[in-house]
Amino acid sequence: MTEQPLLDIRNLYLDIKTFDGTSHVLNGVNLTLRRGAVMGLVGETGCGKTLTGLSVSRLVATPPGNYPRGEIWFDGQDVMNMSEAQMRKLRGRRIAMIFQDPATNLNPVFKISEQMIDVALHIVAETGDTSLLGKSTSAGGQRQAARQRSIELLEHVGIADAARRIDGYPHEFSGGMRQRVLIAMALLGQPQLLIADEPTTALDVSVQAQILRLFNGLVKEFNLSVLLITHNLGVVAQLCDEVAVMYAGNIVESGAARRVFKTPSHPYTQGLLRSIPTPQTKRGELEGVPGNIPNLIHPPGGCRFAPRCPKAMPVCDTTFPAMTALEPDHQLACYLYTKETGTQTNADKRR
Amino acid sequence: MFTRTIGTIKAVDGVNFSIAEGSSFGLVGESGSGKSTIARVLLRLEEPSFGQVRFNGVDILRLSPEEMRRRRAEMQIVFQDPYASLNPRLTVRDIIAEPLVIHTDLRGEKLTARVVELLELVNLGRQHLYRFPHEFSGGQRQRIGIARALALHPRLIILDEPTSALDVSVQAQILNLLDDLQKRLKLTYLFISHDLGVIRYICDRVALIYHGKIVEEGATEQIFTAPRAEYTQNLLAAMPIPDPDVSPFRN
Repeated sequence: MTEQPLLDIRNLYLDIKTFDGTSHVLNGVNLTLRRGAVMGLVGETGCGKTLTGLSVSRLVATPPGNYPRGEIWFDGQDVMNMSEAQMRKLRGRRIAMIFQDPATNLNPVFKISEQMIDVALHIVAETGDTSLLGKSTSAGGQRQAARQRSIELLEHVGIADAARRIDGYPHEFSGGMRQRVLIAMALLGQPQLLIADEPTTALDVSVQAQILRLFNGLVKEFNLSVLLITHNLGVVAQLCDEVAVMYAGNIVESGAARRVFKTPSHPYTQGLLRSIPTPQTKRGELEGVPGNIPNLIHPPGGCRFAPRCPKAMPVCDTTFPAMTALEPDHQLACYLYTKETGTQTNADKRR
Repeated sequence: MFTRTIGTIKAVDGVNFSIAEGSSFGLVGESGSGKSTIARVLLRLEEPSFGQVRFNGVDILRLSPEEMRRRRAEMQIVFQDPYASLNPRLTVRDIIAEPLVIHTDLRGEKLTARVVELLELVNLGRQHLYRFPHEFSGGQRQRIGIARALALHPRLIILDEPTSALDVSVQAQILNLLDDLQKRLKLTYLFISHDLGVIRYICDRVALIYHGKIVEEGATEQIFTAPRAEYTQNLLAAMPIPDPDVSPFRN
């Protein structure tokens, strides 16, 4: 019997009302995150990767959002049917989030210490769990304990001289250091799931490498499961055990990172990987993916990638293909690989 | 009222490089390294405290404002952010026509015909003439910016992070377009980027800049296969490669 996954998103649909009409931004997303796994959710602008992450924490306002169908299960709990009060016990505590721009996620007029202590005390107040602050403490000592815990975490994420630096303001920290502060803040609640939305996109490559190294260490130390949302396939290849590729509101391919990167099978995944210049790519030979992302107010009827797909067939315009397993660790939503259309699976190819 | 000088920063410090006609020269560095400042100095949008910028043999820093204005037709720039570098209140026709109105006598139908020609050069078309920037995707906007830069038959185009704001699939389209245009129009590129993969793909020579100084310069292949400066080696090592087998975190 397989163990219960930490996060299980089943057939999730999300519509968002806009001035131009209803945008069908998530179109039946299926995603399963194992405990202790680091999963990369990759895709290009507007594919719904951020909204998928926000949905897990129920941070999409409804309205304008509306979830016509779908379920989100976190650690065996039905997130979609939780009350706001129940959500507050999860959010920031068992599900933590960090975002792209570390500058705008810290309040410029408060010291780091005040911001971290506020978060810590808030979590303790919501959950009643004082063990988060380390040693058990009396009510009056909570503030001091929260400060101490914050300093420990800052040191843990690589901020030297944290006991002094904690009383600095955000502008006194560089971009990479601010992201470390936010990571420390996310760890205050001892989360099981960390949703990191483009955490290194605003950083220089050398700083990005440092933050990725930090992540890699924290995953093991804190027994975290991570959903890493990014457009950067290089970052996913380095850090993630698993990957899910998203296009226009659907997961089109998912599985073990090595499997997906070594044998990309969905035409979109193949196109994405061929868009990145490698040392072997000769000038003028970069392929890219022709065309543009579809309008999600009037999305294509069948597979949403079909209008740009070099291998599209008539069946692709009918309904969205179901997710099928090519291998136990490799799933795909593409008619090229389904039995009904009588085409190949990887097993066939090997014969 | 509240300004006082508390010190000066050497944003660019003793930089020397030259670009051969028809080649692509890459300038790589992290934020704050001075790469965009160099681009601005080359166009005299920033006056350097000391030094020479020779374009086609002439030191452009000694040109009068009037001479410089004429010279600028030959050197154009494409900016990083295709959302901020196009005037949202002008149609595509007016955006691309602007340099032609300033520098040439083309007017009316002839002007529009030249704009259409430029649009076709970047794989857009007549149907886009009277649309506004917000009606285009990021990649299309960058094509418009490139068409505008090509309007005056420039010899040098400075590309300041031209694909950094774009998705990879669109980036590939733009890189191919730039390569194609360079061959057809015999353009010279100064390509500024922090993305080493892109630089390696498009450039003949590369210079790495750190804290306003060039730490290494050479032919692209040599820099990428046998980097000498420690900074270059570190930067190359930090570049995330989309192959799980070369991850520094896996055994």
